[in-house]
Amino acid sequence: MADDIVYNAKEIVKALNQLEPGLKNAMVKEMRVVAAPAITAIKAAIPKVNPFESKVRPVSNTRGRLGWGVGRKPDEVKFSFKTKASKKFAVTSLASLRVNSPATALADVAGKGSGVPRRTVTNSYSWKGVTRSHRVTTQGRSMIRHLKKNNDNNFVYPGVEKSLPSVQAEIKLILEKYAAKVNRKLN
Amino acid sequence: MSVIVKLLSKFDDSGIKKAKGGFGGLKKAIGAIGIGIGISQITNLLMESAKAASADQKSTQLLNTQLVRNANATKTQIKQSDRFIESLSLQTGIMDDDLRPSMGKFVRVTKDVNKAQQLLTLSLDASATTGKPLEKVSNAISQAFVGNRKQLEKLFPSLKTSKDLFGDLEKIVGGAAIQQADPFSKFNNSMDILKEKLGNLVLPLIQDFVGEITKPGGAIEQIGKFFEQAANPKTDIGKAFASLKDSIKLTFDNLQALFGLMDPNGGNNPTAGFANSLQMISDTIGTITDGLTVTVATFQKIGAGDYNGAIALLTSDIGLGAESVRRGIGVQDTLNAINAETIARGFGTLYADDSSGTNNVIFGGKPTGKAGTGIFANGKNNLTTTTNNNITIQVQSADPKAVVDAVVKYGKANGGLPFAGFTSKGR
Repeated sequence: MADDIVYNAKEIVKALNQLEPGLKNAMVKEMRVVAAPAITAIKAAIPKVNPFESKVRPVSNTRGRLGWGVGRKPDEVKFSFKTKASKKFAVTSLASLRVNSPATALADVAGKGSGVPRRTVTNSYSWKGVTRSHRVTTQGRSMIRHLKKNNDNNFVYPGVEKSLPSVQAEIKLILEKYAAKVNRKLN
Repeated sequence: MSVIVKLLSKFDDSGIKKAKGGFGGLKKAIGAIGIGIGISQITNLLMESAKAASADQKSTQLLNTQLVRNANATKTQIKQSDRFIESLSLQTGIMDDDLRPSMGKFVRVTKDVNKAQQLLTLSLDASATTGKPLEKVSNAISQAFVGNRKQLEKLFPSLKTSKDLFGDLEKIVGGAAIQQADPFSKFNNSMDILKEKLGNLVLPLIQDFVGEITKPGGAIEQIGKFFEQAANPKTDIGKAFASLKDSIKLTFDNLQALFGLMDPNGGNNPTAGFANSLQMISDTIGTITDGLTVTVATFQKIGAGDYNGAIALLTSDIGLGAESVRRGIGVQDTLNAINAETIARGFGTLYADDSSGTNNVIFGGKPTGKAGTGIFANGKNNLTTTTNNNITIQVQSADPKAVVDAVVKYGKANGGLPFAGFTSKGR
């Protein structure tokens, strides 16, 4: 699922807007339409009910920052087009699909790591005027076990795997089409 | 936290370059306060700071002169103007060296320090808003101040109908320069100002030093006089230099004579003598290491109860004994092996007269006399000689390759070998 890398994307987009204001928006709109099948596929793969819930823990992950459906819809998938350069990486995503719900992301990545925490004790931090640290809990293991048992983890990529190559190719074609417009005008 | 599915990626390292540039400034800044750098770097930095301070002083003086000439500025006003430029530079991240020319322009036009400062702030805001260089914007504003609004109206078309030109411009652009100031530029600028302040500390010292060495009778003059005297053979220093030159020549002549005495051909050739002395050193080292090898091996054999082997090693030539130790076989077996190798290479039977205490290698027949006698009475270090159309070669450790090399060397030096059918065989 390696994605293609394009060069001078920022310049192309800038030139597009200089050529005709709103041309960049038109391009992104086209890309969004092309990406729709992938978005639908991801949405279909996301569990419809709270995957963290179990019979013994019926209210698991329903509140707080990582609560299922808290703040964002669990199946919210957005198309993103960013030309901003990163200060850390030379290669960054230009067009991407983002599953923004933290609870969905948590369920998706559960079990992808080694299962061994990097440290058993947290760094020291100040709390109510004192400095303290705490033990890293192992509660996540039972959560991962539960999600794996119900096949509620690692669903985003498998869900989009089939439609992804054609979507990637079409998006690249769209960018090339608009780049050609810029070149024609410049020449 | 979100899951990202990449559809298309881009390559753009401008962000990294920008960050690197910023951290380059940070590195300089850390250097400026002397953290984790060497003495030479600190010295370089001090010199750089002094240069920056010198340039800054020049630019400040230029502006101050204009303030006095055009606006009759007092000393207090001049100081206040300096502080204003510095604070503006820190707030906006624009170099003070860029601000001063614009300030000078406004002072010339307005003849008033306060008004010039207001216009400078305004032009910075306008420059930040339009993205045009400060010089261009300050030109337009100074022109507008004297009634020519054309350039400013080009930059801001909405001012065409304005009745209060600078008031309306202030409404459009006010505060933009500080808002849009690039943090890295501000940081770099702050560091440059720090550097200049550091330079201001160093500069008087450098000025004093330069003044001291360049004054009449100072170090520069003294050193110049010394060189003049050294070049004149009539002065004491000149005579000393001349005698030093003679001493060096004498030492060189002595060395040449010494090496000439070492010429093995008796030709008093220093180069051949030098080569011979090197060969002697090399041979000596070879003999010492061979001797050590034989001694240690002999003791090992005695310890192991191999008395015959120990006696054979002790009675053999040191080179042959060491070669047998290196090969891990007996002395007689080593001789046989060397013979077999020389026969295989086409040099005929090699005979080693081991009982003589030297390792004489003879081609084409038996030797007519023992080594260490005859014309080369010193024996040990002579590479080649001929006796009745035979060549007697003494080689430490009886290495076949060394034998062949010695024979080839002899052939080259003497235009061939005394017996036919040998010259190129086996090489």
